[in-house]
Amino acid sequence: MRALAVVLAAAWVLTGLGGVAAAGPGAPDLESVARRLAAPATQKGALGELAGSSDPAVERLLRALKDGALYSWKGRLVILGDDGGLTDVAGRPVLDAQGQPAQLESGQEAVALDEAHFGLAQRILERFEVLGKDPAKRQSAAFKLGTSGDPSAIPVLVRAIEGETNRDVRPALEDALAKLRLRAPDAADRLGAVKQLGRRASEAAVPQLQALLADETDPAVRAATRAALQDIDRFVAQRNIVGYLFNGISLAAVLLIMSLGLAVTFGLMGIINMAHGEMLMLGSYTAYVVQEIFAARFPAYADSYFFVALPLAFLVAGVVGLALEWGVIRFLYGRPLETLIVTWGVGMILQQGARLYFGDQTSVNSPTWFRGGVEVLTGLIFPWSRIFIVGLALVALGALWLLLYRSYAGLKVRAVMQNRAMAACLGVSTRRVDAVTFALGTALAGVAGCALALIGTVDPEVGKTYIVDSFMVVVLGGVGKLVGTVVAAVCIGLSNKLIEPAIGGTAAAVYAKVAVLVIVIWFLQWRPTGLFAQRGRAATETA
Amino acid sequence: MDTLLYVENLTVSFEGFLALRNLNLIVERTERVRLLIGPNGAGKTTLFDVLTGHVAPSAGRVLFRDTVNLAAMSPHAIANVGVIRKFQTPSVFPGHTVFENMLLAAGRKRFVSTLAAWRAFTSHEAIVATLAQMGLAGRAGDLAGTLSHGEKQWLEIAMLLVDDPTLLLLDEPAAGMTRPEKERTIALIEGIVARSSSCVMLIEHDMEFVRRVARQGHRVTVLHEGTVLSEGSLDRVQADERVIEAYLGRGKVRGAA
Amino acid sequence: MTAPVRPWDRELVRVGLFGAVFAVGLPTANGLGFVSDYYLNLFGKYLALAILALGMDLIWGYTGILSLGQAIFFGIGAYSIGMHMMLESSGKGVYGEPVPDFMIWNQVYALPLFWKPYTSAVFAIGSSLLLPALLATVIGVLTFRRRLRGTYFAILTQAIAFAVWLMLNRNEMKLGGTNGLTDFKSVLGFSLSSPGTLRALYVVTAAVLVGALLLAQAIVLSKTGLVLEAIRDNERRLEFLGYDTAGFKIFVFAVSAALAGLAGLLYAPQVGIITPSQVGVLPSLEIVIWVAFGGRGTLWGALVGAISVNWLRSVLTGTYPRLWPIILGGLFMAVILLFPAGLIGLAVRAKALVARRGRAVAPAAVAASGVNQHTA
Repeated sequence: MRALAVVLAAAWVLTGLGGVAAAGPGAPDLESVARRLAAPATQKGALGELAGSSDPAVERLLRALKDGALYSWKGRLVILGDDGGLTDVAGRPVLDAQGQPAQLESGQEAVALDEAHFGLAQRILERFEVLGKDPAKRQSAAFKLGTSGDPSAIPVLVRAIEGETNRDVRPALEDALAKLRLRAPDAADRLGAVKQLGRRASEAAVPQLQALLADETDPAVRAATRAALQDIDRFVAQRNIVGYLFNGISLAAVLLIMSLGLAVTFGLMGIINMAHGEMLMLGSYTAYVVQEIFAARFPAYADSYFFVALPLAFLVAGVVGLALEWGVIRFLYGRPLETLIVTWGVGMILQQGARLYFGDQTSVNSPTWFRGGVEVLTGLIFPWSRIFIVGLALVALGALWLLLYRSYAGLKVRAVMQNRAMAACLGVSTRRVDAVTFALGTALAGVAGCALALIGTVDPEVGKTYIVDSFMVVVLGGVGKLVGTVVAAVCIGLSNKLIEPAIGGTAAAVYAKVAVLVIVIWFLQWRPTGLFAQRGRAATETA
Repeated sequence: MDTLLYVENLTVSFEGFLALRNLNLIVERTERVRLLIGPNGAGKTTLFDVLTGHVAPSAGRVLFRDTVNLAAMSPHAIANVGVIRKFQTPSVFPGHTVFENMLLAAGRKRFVSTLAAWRAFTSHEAIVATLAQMGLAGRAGDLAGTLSHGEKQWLEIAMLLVDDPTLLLLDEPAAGMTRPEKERTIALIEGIVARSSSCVMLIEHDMEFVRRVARQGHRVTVLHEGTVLSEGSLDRVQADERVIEAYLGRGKVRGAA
Repeated sequence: MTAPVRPWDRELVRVGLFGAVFAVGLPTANGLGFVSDYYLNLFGKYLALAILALGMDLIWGYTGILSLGQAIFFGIGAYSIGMHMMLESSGKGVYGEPVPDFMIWNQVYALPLFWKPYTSAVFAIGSSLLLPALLATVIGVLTFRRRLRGTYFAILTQAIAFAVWLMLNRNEMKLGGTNGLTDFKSVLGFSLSSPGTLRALYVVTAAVLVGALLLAQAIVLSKTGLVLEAIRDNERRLEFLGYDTAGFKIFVFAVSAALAGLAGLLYAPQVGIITPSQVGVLPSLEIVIWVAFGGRGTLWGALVGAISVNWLRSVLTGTYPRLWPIILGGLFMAVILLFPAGLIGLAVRAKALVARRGRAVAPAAVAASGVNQHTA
């Protein structure tokens, strides 16, 4: 009997060894480490041991522990993968006695990571990440290490910086190092770290710098810290101003693109079309519908939907404009106030119709190449979608200008608007010119709506939200001149976005809007015909 | 000085285009009628626009009765001072009756007095008399919109006369009128001269009309390209070479039928 | 030649008849049980809105100025009395003064300064009339003196209405935010749940409407009315005749604003709630439609329009709430495109047709019938 026991023990040892041999060097360490991690009493010690490790298997193990994917199975420790399969600590799939992939018993609980050790485990993982493959992970790990305040991470960071080549990750690593060095025992080290952070205008380091200021004793370091904080403040202020300016230009572009159509129908033709906002809404919904169609029928080209939506929005709004002009507007020429009332009614019908058909809130996804933006300064991103809108506004402006002032069609339009009778005598079909001009105005609104869908939701209210602003732009700019519309849009856009931060608070957007309205109204007292007025006898008679 | 209207170096520019250039004009207090003639675009109506405060001068002085600076006043203030204008196209209130049109023209125009006049219709007799003078007495209850073109012109003149204006500006009163209507208008003007103390300044193209009115001895001013070309009695002006060159031509003045 | 008869006497008779029916007849019927409290209250609301329409007719129907801010003035009146009623029926705050519930929910425990004067009923009533008139005068002085054209004025008042609506919706304004002021329990000490109070409110409203009607008729049938209509038809000529048209426009604007405030004052206690949705651009346009629907420039048209459109709204929003905006939009279009002279215009034309059947054509009557009341 005893011989059998020895043989069995030897066999067990041999298979164990064999198993170990098959697993490769370091595997017994791993298994025992895992076992010690699994036991609550030894968990902390085990974690401490792993602090300096760089073994990817260790990382995997720790991650499993942290994620709650480490299980005890038939006396061994296994890791539950994302695919539901079990692997052992070395990464090999675990098979049961029949050679099939093993399954966990239902209801089995994972090995627990003590809450108190969470930070420790996290820190170790971050150190792994800092040396890992993914640059984005390296960057965020660097940031987290920097704010951890844990000086033991310094060597890891130093090693990481040496090998780092990525332009975005390296500064993050250096920042993190500097932050940790803020608490170094040597004053010179601290001074160096403070200067580094100041020089790089590291906004994220502000809390640490302020904390340092509170309990720093060395006068030189104190002075440097104060200076660094000031530098960072100044940079932030400048960056904010650039941000406001960009926001202002972006808003101006939105206003411009919305108001170009109105500049044609109201500025040129004198028609107050209160349904202009709903033309915008039609453009937005066109974008939505096209997107839905593409998602359903041509999912491969999902992003290209925008190329179809933009011209389609132009057509849809243009056709509706034609119908509106032919059915309603042409009976009311010369009666602007009544046109106002009637078109408001049309707008209400369109709005409610949209609400009944589409519901109250839908939205449109930007094509992927519009997502994200250009990082102009640290922490300041200009979204591509807004840059696109600025570009689109300029293109639309240019196209309109060319059409009106450099084409024969535009000549006919201007002739009819200036002296209808004479133009008719010269053979211009005033009916057709009226209809087409109005349709052009509404078509432009449609394009605007399509573009606006990129930066906001698509809902029935969008028309009413923007109609007042559009009229303000055209009225402020001076009726009849495109350049006035542009200047007015820029003025209103910039003032809105510069006033908003000055007011501050949650309601700043609303108050800024009201403030800008008040300013425009005040300005119109002083110059009722707007920025670029038309003078002359004909103007005073019709202005 | 004793002038009724004193215009010195009046210049009006519309975005660079000079409608009036250094225009000088004096109307004496004793004058009863002054005729303004000249080719189209000469600036006649623009001059009227300046006189009534509708257009601001770019340079120059415009004085009424030597002391009142018309250039600095609003149109309704100028009207209250006694300078009244009749427009080229008849400008009455078509939705109101002839009598109501006169009511609007008569009486005090100040806000408070109008409010106070809510039931008492002042100067009833003056209205009736003026309407009779214009030959419109029988149409008092008719809507002004239903009047013929000539009748509308006379109604407008009646509206302007009822308040005894000091200076009455008539912009082409004979435009669009038939021959008999023109006769009546001439008689009207003579009646104004005879029965009131208003001075009439008159823009006209119809040379026959001008001749008939000027025959009474009134002065004629010829405007050309924004400035005064010639001034004096009709005979003198007709003989002026520059006027012939610019406006009248060499044919004899014939009646415009 | 005879001077045209000022139809003042005839109008007095009409007003008297109206007063007899609405100010005396209806409440008596209610007291006797023939008309339910619910309908009386509903009519009280309609009559209050009729006062609002009257002001609109004065400024738009007669003077031709499209003001899209009438709802603001209405709101001022309604919010004024609303604030007073809230203070009357709310619990005590930190300093022992009454503080409305919605403020306490928003963690405001002391009464804001601008609310304090509204504890006085006199102040509330006074401000509901004077504040709108003052605001209108200021706007009028700033715009009419500057010779802003009609279209610009419409756009301007629309922008102001929009701005006011935006502000009223904010809780920081301490006026109830989107929910507005509601839950009124009593007005001037009289409980709002007692039918006697509601009947009294109705009678007051009807009486005030009669008074407003008389005032409006007085303006319209006088020389001032003539001037206002002339401003609508040919303002330039009027100026050249020597009228300071700006002054008249400011006057009629202020009167219409006061009437709107008055309407709000009477509306809020009877309806029991005032929210920002009743103050804004759309409500202002609706008022225009009431007047246009009834027949602008006739005063009676304003009454007819206000009552009929609001009655239509009560009926339709009950059965087809989702279609109501479409119907209203259609009404906007139909009234302007198809029958611009409104119901009264249709009635007059029908009457003239009937008269024509009877005797020879009387051109003056036919022409005048759709236009104004002075000679008809």
